[in-house]
Amino acid sequence: MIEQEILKAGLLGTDKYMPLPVPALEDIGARITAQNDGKEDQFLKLAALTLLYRECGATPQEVTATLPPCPGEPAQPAGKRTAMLLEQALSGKEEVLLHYLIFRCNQRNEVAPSALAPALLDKALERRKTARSIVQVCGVAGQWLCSLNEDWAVLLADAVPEEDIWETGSLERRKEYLTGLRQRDPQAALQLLAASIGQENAAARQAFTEVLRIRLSLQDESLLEQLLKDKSQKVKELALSLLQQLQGSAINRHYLDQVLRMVRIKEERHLLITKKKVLAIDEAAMPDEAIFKTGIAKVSSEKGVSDGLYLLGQLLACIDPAVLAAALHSTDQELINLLLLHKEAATLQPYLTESVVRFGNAAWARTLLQAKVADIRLLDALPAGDRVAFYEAFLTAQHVAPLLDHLLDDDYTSLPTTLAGALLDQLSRQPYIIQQQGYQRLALHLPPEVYDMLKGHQDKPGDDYQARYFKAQAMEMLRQMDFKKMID
Amino acid sequence: MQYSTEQILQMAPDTPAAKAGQQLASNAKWLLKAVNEKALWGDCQGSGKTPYRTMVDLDNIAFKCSCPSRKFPCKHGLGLMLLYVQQPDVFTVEASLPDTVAEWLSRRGAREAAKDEKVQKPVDEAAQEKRIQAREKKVLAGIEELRYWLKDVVRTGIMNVPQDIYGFNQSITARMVDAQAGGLANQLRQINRIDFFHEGWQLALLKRLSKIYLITEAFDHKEQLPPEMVQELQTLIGWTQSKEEVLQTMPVEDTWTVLSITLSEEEQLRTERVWLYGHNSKRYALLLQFYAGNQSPEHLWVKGMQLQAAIAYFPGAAPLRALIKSHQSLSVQPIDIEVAGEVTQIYEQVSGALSVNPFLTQFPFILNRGTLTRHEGHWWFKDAANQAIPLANTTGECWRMLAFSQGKPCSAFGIYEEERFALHTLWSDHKSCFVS
Repeated sequence: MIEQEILKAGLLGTDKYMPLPVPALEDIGARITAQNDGKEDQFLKLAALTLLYRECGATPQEVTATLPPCPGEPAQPAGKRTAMLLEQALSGKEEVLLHYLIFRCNQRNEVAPSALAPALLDKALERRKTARSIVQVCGVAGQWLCSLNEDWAVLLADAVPEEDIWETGSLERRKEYLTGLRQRDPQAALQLLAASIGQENAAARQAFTEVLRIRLSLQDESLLEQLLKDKSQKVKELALSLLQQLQGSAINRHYLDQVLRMVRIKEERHLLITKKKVLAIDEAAMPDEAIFKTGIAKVSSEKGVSDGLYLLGQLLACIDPAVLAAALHSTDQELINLLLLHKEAATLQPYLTESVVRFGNAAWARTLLQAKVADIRLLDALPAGDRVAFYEAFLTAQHVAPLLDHLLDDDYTSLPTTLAGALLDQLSRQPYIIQQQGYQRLALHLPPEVYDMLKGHQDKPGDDYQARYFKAQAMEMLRQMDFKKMID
Repeated sequence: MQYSTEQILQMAPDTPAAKAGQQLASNAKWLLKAVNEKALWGDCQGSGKTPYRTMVDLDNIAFKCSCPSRKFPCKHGLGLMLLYVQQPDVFTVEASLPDTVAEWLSRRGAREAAKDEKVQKPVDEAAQEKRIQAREKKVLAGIEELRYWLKDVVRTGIMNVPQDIYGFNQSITARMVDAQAGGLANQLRQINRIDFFHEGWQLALLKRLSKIYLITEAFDHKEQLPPEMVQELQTLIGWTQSKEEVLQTMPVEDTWTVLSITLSEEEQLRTERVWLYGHNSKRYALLLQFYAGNQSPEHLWVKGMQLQAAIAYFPGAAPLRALIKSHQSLSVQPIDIEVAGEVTQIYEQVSGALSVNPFLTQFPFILNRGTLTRHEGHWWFKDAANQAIPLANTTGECWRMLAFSQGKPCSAFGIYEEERFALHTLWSDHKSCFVS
């Protein structure tokens, strides 16, 4: 360390310490001293000389450590245009476009250029929900980088072998695994969960209990009843909610009995000659106190709704409408009609909707939709082909945003042309009802047939703030459609 | 035109302009899009009634737009070029240029000619001599004060400098500006780049202080030095050489590749460093440009582009800084430069260069068939003999380089500066990765 003397003198000052030249610089040091221009002059020259001497004498270090090279990539590289757009979307932070490009690459089994992998993996760390698709688009290079970088290694943990996921995977992956198992074999999933739920933390218990919602059956009742005593309030509430809606469970049977006490179908004389069935609701038929310990509120929290009606609504929301119809010795259609004709239909309708959504009853959903009940969740209860007829009902300022959430899927399915046109018309009138990201996502779902229509909107005269805003969005959507066209 | 998106976006003056340019790279946003072998032009509908006319000179990349933006290039220029790269088929190929474009291109040509004429202008030698003498007197007085200041600093020691980092050299820097020794003022400003919060600042500071002292000492004995070294010292002190003089020296004609472009900003002054490599001359050249405020660049370079150019070097001990005398942009080609030598030779070249010019601050190098690796928490670039240079690049840059090279041998261009090596560009298999 030839610079130690210089360092010492530099820190202390030449008043306190004067360095000696290192042996190799003794001659030149003597010549500097001989100039006799003062200690400071001598020090500054010697420092310059020593540090230059040290710099010139630097030699490379031998490093034998070698990183394993990246294995060969079996997948095709993304096309030139796609790669260029990926780069652009990354640098421009265009999240919507980036995710579309990643989706398309993965769909075609193409990989992004390896130089983009670090930026993509950083993105995956930010957005864990889409991390797997991002890691996939990085291909072998991405996995190789994850194996070398501690920060990215967590992304590889998501790629553990199937048989080890339950033991070693991340919470997200374990939940996915349990969901898959539950869909294939509900009993096996139940057993797996029952065996290990005691060792899980509260967040995991809640996440895994949520999975029981899939193909919920009476076999789950015992575990759910155990979970009513869980330490976590959230887990308890979730277990109770599942037991409430589990048809045939003790709690649900209790609810049905109470509903049957309150509701009956009776016949009334009509115009003196015919008989007509009507729905009778007995609000005074109050239940035993035990029911109020199962998450049912005793006192109405809704303005203008009596306690009895409020109680009935809560219970109806937990009972499959088809089961109720059978219990009342009626048919689905008859019961729906009677309910909709009842004077309290408007009050009960949200609870019925909740029940229809929960139990996925298509007949009830269709009838409610025909009765102009505008709850987008009802569409989920219908077969895909039957939904189109009802979309128009949701083309209002209030419902466009939820309708788009319902329509815009992660597979970028093209919207029907007529619907797309109607949506654009609605948005052109009230452009602020969705946000910019909504427009970008919509653009990637638009069929090519509406391109000219969108261009027409862009060129439309009009100078008020809403028209200007929509024009800007239309331009942005056209850009997204151009990109889509470029890579499709 | 074979530019990539990345290369075009690198021309953007800032990130918002780059992003806005990307937004405008849409067919729908342009009412007119046309291309000719000399230029690109288009009309972009802005918020007003009249669309903006945007033009791009394809021969020597330059932009012109009728929008009121003070950024250069503006978002319209970037958007038009990006659109052309992404969707060339939506552009109409025109055999002739419209009047506005032709006029702009001819004005650009006329300006180039005017520059050449300026070189021919006679100077009043007597007045010039008087000015030189007056300035020298001021500079010498400044140097004298600087030497006193340096001696004062080392007399009391540098231990307490971190307690007043900004005030430490403020007055003396201002004094050097007053003394018209801008080079020395700049050398003093470099002290503020030292990281006083990390171990090692002591040697870095001593090295800076002693080097500045050495400059003043060498200048004091300039009669004993070769003319190139005197020229080098004059530049370091602050005598600038007129571009006209430099341009009158014998240029080096060659095919040059733009290996790296870096932009740094200090006190509202942007410094652009463009490193070139001459394929036949095997020489490096550094184009150094300074821009104040919203000043527009004279040339727009694109990393990886090739140009046929005559380059004049500033005189000095080991000249690197240069000016473009005349040039013609070629296309963007994959970088393919082979330079003999391994890591040991790079160290030897650095030592050799320092022995010729001890004030050398940057030394460019190329290493072929090197491999990136990590060892003891540091990043290295090593040759086949396992001789390695430690990398000064950021961790993010190192990961990007590793991802590009995939752990396999590749070539790299880098800069040795302040005893550290930073890689700027990697290339392999006809692909390039511009790191900085």
